[in-house]
Amino acid sequence: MERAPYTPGPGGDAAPGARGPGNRLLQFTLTIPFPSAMDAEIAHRFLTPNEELQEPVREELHVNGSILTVRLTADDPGQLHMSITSCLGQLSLVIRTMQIIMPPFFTKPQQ
Amino acid sequence: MPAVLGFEGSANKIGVGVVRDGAVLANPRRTYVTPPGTGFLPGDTARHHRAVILDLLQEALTEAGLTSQDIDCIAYTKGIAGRLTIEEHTWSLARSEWPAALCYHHYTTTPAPPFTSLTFPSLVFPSVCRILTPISIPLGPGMGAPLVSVAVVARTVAQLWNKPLLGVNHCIGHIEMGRLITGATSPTVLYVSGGNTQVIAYSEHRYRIFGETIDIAVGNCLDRFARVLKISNDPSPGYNIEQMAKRGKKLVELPYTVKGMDVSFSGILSFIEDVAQRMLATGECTPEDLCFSLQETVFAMLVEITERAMAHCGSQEALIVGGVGCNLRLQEMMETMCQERGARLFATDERFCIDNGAMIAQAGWEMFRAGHRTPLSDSGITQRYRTDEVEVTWRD
Repeated sequence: MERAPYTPGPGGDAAPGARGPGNRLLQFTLTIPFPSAMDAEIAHRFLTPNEELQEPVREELHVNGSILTVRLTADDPGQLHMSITSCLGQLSLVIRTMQIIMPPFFTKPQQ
Repeated sequence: MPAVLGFEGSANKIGVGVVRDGAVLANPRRTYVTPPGTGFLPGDTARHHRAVILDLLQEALTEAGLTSQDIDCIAYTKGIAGRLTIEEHTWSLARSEWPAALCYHHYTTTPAPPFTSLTFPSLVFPSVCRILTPISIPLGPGMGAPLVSVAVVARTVAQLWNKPLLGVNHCIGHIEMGRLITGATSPTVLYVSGGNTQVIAYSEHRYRIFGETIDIAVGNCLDRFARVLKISNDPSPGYNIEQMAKRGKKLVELPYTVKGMDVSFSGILSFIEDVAQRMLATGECTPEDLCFSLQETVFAMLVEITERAMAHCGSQEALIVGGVGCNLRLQEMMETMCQERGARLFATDERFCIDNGAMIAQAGWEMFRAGHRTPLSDSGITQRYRTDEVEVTWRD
């Protein structure tokens, strides 16, 4: 987990938009390698964040080749912790669903 | 002959159902039960749902004797009704074109019930010159984490099987299942559960909300009272309260709070939470008496607002849906009211009263045939999905 950088502006004050001491944004970044770029893209679509639930923890997903990156950003460490647990749970569920649902498990045998 | 697969998991029940042409082909369900004296939290509930949902999916397809290729559409609970603020309720009524006189002019000046930690201070509306009871918090009763868990699976399954996806309003799921199972044609609906309490009637392609709770749902009131007495949550606190109430002999007077077309339960709950321990300690009453008294009071309130709605609509049918609708005493009291009015009462059993996947599948079936589709970009969930937001294009 990395902390957002603290960037002082002129005169030693915090730059606009940055947080002061004791009020820093916390970030959690998770990178997941998939067997192929298509699998990563599929998982990305399934895990599309729910806009209504974006506060107080912001969730972003990005795909780069076969790597899916999840980034969670929050003020509060407790809320971030809960979101990490929830995110890992959703990710596990999507992967399990893909493993079970993808052919040939749920299709009729070809006649 | 479309077959629809429905996913439901907005509270502590998770179900997957299959419906085809008015027949329920499968409807397995699991309930997350917490220890006595406790309620269910979103994170733990979501964890429970994630652990069992894929097994339930397989179970549903096996029970229905279908494969993915036989399914025409995937439906899931997109959200359930939220409690409105006063401003939003007035706007909703205006949009539905019911006269304003139907709503707030009936409010009395009796003191507002004690506030719970979830209510805001009351407001005074100059035009009405009444003191209105606490405004609900802006979040609906739907639990975000469980809803998201189920939506993720529905979305995944829909895309992998290349089937259309439908987001369904939870309340409409209850109504459509109730209509299917009972055959009621155009009833006044009393929707009562742990998360919702609404009186609804259909008009011009909307399920219009005539009245509702202005704070907590009746099922929530019963569930939280069960925690006070440490009544078991297995199979459900409401069921156990009902069994205890049958042995109650003494009616303890509790606050009766009907405000025009709406009801309020937070004051009753606060009152009974305060007096329960004292009265039990002094032997004034038994836990069974308290269960009996609470049921008689809150159910009488529900019967009153339902009757008022039926009188307004000239309705000859009443339908009870939602988990609290399983309660036989509530059904008995509603039946008495209906008989006095020459009306018919419809109710279902616990298979369809309590949250289940088939009700989402049934509502999805209606919507699918009417041409509704939910694009992937709109396939999230919402905790504020009002019953009257949905255009009911599948009915005349």
